[in-house]
Amino acid sequence: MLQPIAERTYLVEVNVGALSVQKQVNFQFIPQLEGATIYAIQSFGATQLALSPNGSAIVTTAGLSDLTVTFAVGDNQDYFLVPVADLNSASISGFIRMISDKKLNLTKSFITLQGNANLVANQSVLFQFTYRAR
Amino acid sequence: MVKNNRVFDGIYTISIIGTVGQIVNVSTPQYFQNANYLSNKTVKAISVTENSLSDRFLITLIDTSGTQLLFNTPFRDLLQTVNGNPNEKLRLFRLNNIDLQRSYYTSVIPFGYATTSNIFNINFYI
Repeated sequence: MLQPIAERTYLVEVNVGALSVQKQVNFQFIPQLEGATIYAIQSFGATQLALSPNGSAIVTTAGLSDLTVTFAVGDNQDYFLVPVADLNSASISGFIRMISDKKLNLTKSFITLQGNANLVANQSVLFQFTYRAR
Repeated sequence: MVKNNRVFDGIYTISIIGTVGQIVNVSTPQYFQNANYLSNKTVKAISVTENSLSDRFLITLIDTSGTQLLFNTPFRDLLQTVNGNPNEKLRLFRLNNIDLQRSYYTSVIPFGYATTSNIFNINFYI
């Protein structure tokens, strides 16, 4: 399977906050990714990192299955309700999910809590974007 | 022969050694080294060695002009195996002019060393 040749990567943290089914949490503005061409996306859970860079507990591998992510390009939700577990390389034989070159609108992109059986309040999920600079 | 990103001209390995009494604080950059062996080379792949602390490290690589190339890449994503299965796992890159004096790893949990020992090796495939 084709794998990306990464020129740059950036790790982004999204905190789920208080738990509520169907809750949406938007990504924050990331200056480095503004206007950047993104061509691969990964998610990480507690198996990959013990704590988030901000010191929050990380969603477990089981907890990733409770989450979906929607990525917007402009105002269009081009990647709609993608299972976050499907972006976790360790769960898919080490592969990295590639997308066609996109300038994602992160502030209009969000995760959705589809369930909360395996989540704990204020856990974070991590996304790594592989990108090309503007 | 046509070279591609899976044909390597060499491998440069850095061994990170922790010394007795050394404390690694959260988010404090631990710079790789002073030698700038990679400053005029293209790194095509990176791998690391597993250890008991590997779920707490993040890697940031910066080039000689100060541009962040990798920001907070989880150390464990650079391991070559997934549950012992090396399926296509070597992470491929195209990273020019990495500055090892500015590049560093950080830990998300503080720790100290009881003995002087190797923490991990990071291998740059050029």
